[in-house]
Amino acid sequence: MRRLRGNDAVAIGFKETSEFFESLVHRLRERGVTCAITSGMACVALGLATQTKDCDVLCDPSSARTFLKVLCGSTFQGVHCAYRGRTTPPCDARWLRGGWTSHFEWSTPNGKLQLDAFGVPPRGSQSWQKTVAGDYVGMASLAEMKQTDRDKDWPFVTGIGAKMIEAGDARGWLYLFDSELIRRLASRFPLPETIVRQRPVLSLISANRDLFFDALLAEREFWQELNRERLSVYSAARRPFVRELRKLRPSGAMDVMADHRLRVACARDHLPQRPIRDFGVERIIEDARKNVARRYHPELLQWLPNVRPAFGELSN
Amino acid sequence: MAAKRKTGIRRTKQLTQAKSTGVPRSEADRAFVRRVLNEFLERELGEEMARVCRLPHKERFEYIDDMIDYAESKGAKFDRPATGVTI
Repeated sequence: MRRLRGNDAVAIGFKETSEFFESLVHRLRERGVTCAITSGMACVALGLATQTKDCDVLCDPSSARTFLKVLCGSTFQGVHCAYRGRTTPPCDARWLRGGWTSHFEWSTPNGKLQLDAFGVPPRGSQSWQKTVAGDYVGMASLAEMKQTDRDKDWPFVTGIGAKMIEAGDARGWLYLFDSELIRRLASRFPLPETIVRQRPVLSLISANRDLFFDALLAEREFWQELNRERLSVYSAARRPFVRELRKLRPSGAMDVMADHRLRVACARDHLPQRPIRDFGVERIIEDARKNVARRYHPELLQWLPNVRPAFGELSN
Repeated sequence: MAAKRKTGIRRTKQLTQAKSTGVPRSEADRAFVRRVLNEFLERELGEEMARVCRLPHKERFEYIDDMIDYAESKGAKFDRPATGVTI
């Protein structure tokens, strides 16, 4: 039974939201767009319950134009889609390829439905397009996306890793961050050496418990630092665009296509297409390592993984 | 000391193996992974959310639906900032 709000409007529920986004993905695919739902909603579908309401959609950058057209034609409770935020980057292949995200919303009297669209999953070391499962992104890409700088996301990374192992995908070992769970699983399914080579910290599984525990924490901290560095690169790169768009764009609602044209025109001059490449992946990694070394014993740095593949598409 | 080292070597052989696939092969093995994962989720998310994780798809979505509905009725906000980049 849905609760009524003060003005007798009925709150938008998660089920309604997820059904809407699933049908949107179906419509997009009918038009030839490669896309998949990811993040929180994908975790819930996988069997990892999390409180989420909004939707993150991965869209192949080459389909950005069709993606936007389908969004323009979609209505939720009779309301059309609009860009969310006055200074959101445009949904255009040139910027999606560089890791930018476009934000959209359907603003109804009952509340807002929010959608974030991006073309390159953060930390994505493999082609997400090849691993789509149903309406959702594959587990490996989802696990990589959850390796954020927020502590609350990490139980989901381990949860997805364990689900991958259950499904017979040994790459799940790359996403386990709980020493107790790793030891228990390894006692029944010994770790393949190929996996240990990819993730050096796993070579400590038979070492002193404290060392293994600390090395796992340092590895997690490394991923968190990498994300902080990555976000700061985008934040700095976006400033001129935000400043200019605020001057150009009226504050009220705008037709989404007119809004889009304005954003593209402004982005051409003020929003770098490849901020990570311009800044340098090696600088990001070096800064993150330095920050980890400040908080953890420097000896632990030798077991940090090679994270260059996580910047693959963004560094070209 | 020597005995300790010997135990360590034996343990290394148990937990890592060159030819191991590292994944379950039988239903009993898969049930073991589910049990270990459930214990982990109980530790990290609490017993109630671990139970929700085990619910069938439809019931799980309905539970989250009710949870968000209740949180919003108490004033919780689910708006996300539009920063142009995904966390």
